[in-house]
Order: sequence, then structure tokens, then C-alpha cells
Amino acid sequence: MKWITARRRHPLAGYVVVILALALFGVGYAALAPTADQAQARTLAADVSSQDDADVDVAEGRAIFDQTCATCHNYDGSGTETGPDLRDVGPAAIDFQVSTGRMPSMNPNAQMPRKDMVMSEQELANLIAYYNAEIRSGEAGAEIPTDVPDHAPDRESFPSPLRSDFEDEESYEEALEEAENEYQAALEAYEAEYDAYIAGADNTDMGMKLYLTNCAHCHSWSGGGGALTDGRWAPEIHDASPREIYEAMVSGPGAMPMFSDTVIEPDEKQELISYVKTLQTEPNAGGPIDLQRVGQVAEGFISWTIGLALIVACAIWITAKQRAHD
Amino acid sequence: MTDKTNNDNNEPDEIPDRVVGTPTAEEHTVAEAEAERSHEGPYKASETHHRPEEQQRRGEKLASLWFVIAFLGGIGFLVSYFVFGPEEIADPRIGQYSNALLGGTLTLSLFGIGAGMTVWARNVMPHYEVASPYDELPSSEKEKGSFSAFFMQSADESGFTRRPLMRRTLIAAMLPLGIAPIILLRDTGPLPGDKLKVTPWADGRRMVVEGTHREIRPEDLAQDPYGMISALPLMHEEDYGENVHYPHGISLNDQAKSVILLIKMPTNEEGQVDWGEEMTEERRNWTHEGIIAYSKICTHVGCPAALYERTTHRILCPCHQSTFDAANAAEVVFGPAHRPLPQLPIGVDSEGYLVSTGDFSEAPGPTFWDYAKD
Repeated sequence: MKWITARRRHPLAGYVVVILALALFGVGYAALAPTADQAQARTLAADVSSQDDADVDVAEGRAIFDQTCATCHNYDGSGTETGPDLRDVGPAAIDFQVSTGRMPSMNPNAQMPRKDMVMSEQELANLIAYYNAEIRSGEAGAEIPTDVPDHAPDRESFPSPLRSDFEDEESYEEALEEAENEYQAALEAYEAEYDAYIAGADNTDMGMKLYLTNCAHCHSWSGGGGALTDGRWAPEIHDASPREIYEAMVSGPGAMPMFSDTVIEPDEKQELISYVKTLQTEPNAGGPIDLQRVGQVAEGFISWTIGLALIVACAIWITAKQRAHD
Repeated sequence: MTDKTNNDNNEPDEIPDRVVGTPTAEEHTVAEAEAERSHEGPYKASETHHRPEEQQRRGEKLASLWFVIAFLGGIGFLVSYFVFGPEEIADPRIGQYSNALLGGTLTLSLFGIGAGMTVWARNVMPHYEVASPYDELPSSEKEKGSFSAFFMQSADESGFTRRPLMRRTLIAAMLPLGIAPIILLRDTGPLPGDKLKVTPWADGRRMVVEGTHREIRPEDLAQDPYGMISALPLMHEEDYGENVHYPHGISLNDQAKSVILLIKMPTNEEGQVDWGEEMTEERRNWTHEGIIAYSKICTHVGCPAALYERTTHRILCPCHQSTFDAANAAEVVFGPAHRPLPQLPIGVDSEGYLVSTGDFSEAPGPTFWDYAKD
């Protein structure tokens, strides 16, 4: 203690105290703040038995809804002060919000960023079945565009068999190969579907026009996203799957306006999505700070300007005349 | 360049060369030298000229030659301006020749004047120092009186009055360049007339989705409680006029003027739209079943303002963050724009398609000097 006492009047003591306090609060908040992972844990803790077959379980969907969604959206989906009314939004909106990891959200005041989905595909299917059966008012809202390809199948949803379940090496190898083949088959089926959808667009020019006139203002010409008012932002769309883009257009998540199938017809949406996919496959020109994909030359120029300013500042500081009394 | 050729101090040529940067031998006696040489009155020209008459004559001829070249360059500039008409320079291949000629002749002209004047100063003008003490203002009567004599004397000394060849060629060289700015004003014409206030929108003109060019019905937007789409006027072949070679018969200029945002406003529980105070009875009549149309072109500097937030029904311009309230006649809520986006009156025709029922309520696009005049 004597060591500290001796230095408590040191000129830097104040700064040290402030830095320590900031670090304490920062680490403390990070440790205590609720995260999506905990939300997942609570969801799974709802004692829902996961099913392997494709059949949906409305009862399980109800359990998920009551556990995960009802706090903000009310038990009948009519909404509360913290969450909007869900009865008119349609299953496409539910699928979009949950599959992009935006829902469930731990902070309803802020715009949700894209995250990994916290539920399994099966849980989401159950949830949507429950929504359609109990909450949705009639035919309101848009249906999920099931003919539009979603993400590639997840490697983790095809688990490798455990060695301990098998008597001998041979049967284990067999099962391993079977699991791998199953995954490869699913992947190939997905890729065929994806290629058919993207290559099926024959007028990507029109898709580009639609994108540039209706989407590019917010999501930027490169798909990099941009700022809106009141701290909201338009997210970047490089990770979005064709189905997510489609669902975003028909459901209008957040501040985004809707583009229904009567205004932009499904095949026109296909052109648009095909164009966005070509945008996504354009290589990012890179650069160390990755500024809206402007590329290394532009980034180099910015760095050069800032760097020179810093060097000039240093030169001024080094050569400044020392004051007489210091 | 040595001191000998740049004898600004009018020192005698016998002074030995010195290394640039070292003080001259006389520098510490500048004050005295000034006292000796200070300009008490006009020198006689004959006393100040240290250059032989022959050198001056050579200088005069050389300077005149440069001025003649400058004059020809200036004439060439004017000629090359008129050789290529506005139609021709629109073609980049011809435009580059026009640019090269204009730039080349202007360079020649300006360089000729500069070179001639340099020759003049180096070979014809006398070189001596004039020290002008900083006097009290205003000048004394005596000085005022002597000024014109001094001015004329200087003109005489510089050779301007005494050497008519050089003087006349200099004036000739300046003349075309003096005229050039007046002639270049031609490019600002012709006057735009009412082009800035009139767009292809008219009573009964249908609208099409920009990009797909499909006609829109109000039912198309009925599925979108928060819909928005960019639209253009539908041109019929008889309206194509001189735009016949553009796809859909509408030029890019006309597209830029007439592009609109069609917005489906959300309704409240009674099925009504919560319009703002600026939505007068007249403006509400310009909407159709909650669908409202605004010019997409920001009234600040003309960027396409199309960041539409359905939750706040704000229209945002990406360039300078001008923000308009779509529910309140596009009043400016933030940013540098200082007037609302013009509203387009819309309705439906007998076949149920959305149509405009007239032109914009105001001139679309950035404000210009006489936009408020009729």
C-alpha cells in the first residue's frame, strides 16, 4: 500500500485511475450482458425434443414461441411496447428474421445485426408451423419462397458417427462414408438447385437496373450497405442467400420498404437476385482497412493523407521550442 | 544563368562573378548606394540606357516576332473554336481534335506574349534600381504633378512609345485573347426556356416500373402496406419525337427530370393515412388509395433521393443527408435542401392503370435562379 500511497499525487495517477475504471466497466459489462448464445441456451432449455424427420411439430413451435418470442411479441403475437405485432407480417418475415440470426434479439431498442441462427432448421420449421396455425391472421403477409434456394446445407447437420457406437473398425468406416455421401448428395442437390435458379435468369441487365434504382441507394452499389437516419443502417448483403434476399423484398424487414410480387414479379426478382449474386462473387479489392470495397489504391491514398498529417504533427512536436520553465 | 545576364542591380560588368547565395561585395553599403541612385526625378532616357542601340533593335525585332506568333495563335484559337460545331464535338473522336487545337493555339498565344515580353524586358528596357520611399498618403501636389511626366517618361524609356513595331504587334497579340472570353459566352446559350419546369408527365400519362418497364395498377401496391418503387412515365410511340432512338422513347435528360418514387403509405386502424399538416386538401386529392408520388430528384443538388425508411416514412438523400417527410408533403426535416420534393398528382385511368393527372407541383430537381417565376 505504501507503494501506491507514495505515488497517489503523481501527475499520471488520475489517468491510471480512469483507465482502470473504464477497463473494469468494459470487462464487467461484457461478462454480464445477455448474449444471443444465452438466448439459445434458454431456448434449448425449454425441453423440446429435436426431431430428425421433416415433419413439423406445432406443439414444439408453441413452446419455442412462448419461451423465446412472447416476451416482446406477446403470447398471441399481438405485440407489446418492445416488439411489433406479428399477426400480419407473414411467414416469410419470420423465416427471414430468425434465419439471419436477427431474432431473437436481446436489445429491442437497437437494430439487430446479422448473426448465426440460434435455432436449428427443425426448430424454425416448428416455429413457423405454429405461427401459421395459431398467430397469423388469415393469409396476411408473404409466404416463404420455398422454390428459391437458401444457404448450402450445413456440414454440422450431417453429424459423423461416433467411433464408440461401433464394434469394429470396418463398420465404423462404412458408416462414416455413408454420412459423408449423404452430405455430398445434399450439397450437390443444393448446388444444382442454386445454379438452376441463378442461371435461369436471362436478363441480368434488368436485374441490375432494378437493383440500382431501388436497392443501391441504401445497400450501396457494391452491396456494402450504408447509413440511415437515427443510427439505423442498411446492412451489407454479401452473406445473404437468394431466399433471404427474396424474403427481405417481400417482407420489408426493419426500415426497408416492401417490393411485393405484383410490383416486381417473381421472375424479375430472380433477375435481381442473380445480379446481386454476381455482385457478391466480385472479388473484394481488399486493402487492410476494407473501406466499402473501395480497393487498395483508394485506401492507400487515404492512409497516405492521414499518415502524412501524423508525420507533420510529429515533426512539429519534435522540433517545437521547449518552454523556458519546463 | 550568371549574374552577368541577370544584372538586376545595374552593376558595372567589371564586377567579378560571385557564387549564388553569397552576399555581394556592396551589400553592406546598400543604404548609401540607394542615396546615390535614388530616383529624384525622371532620368533622361539617354542616361539610363546601358545597352547598345543595336542590341535594343535586335530585341525589338525578336519581341515583335513573338507578338506576331501570339497574334496568329490567338486568331487560330478563335478559328478552331468555330471550326467544330457543338454537334461535332459531342463525338469524342472529333472532340479530341477540337480540344487539342483550342489548347494548342491558346498555349501558343499566351507563350508568345510571355516570350515577347521577356525579350523586351531583357534587351530593350533599361535596368536600374528605383527606390521608392514609403511616403505619407496622400501624395503631395508636387508628386502628383510629376507622376504623369514620370509615367510618360517611363513609357518612353521602356521603348513602348519609341518603338512602334513592337507596340503595335503587342496590341495585335492581345486583341484576339481579349475578344475570346466574349465569344466563349456562346457556349452558355441557348437559353433554356421552360425546359427546367416542364417534364413529360401530363394528364393521363401512365407510369411504369423503372427497369422492367411494366405498367402499374394500384392493386399491385395493395399487397405492400409499406411499398415503394421507382417509376417513369410511359411514352407512346407518337410521343417519341426526337427521342425515337432511345429505348422506350424517353431521353436520359427526360428520365432524370421525370423519375418518381411511388410510395404506398401505411394506414392506421381506420384505414386512413396519417397525413401531416402540409398535406392540404388539394395535395390529398393528388394521391390515390394511400399511394403518393414524389420526384426522386433531391431539390438540393439533384442526387436521386431514394433511401426510403418505411417505419418513419422519411426519404433520405445519400449525398448530403437531406431528409424529407413523405407523409407531410415531403417537407424538409433535415439537411441542406430548402424546399420539399415536388409532388406528382396521380389517379387511375378508365382501364385501372395508375396515371399522372398533370405535371409536378413545382419544378423538379435542384433550385435554379428563376424556378419560382411563372
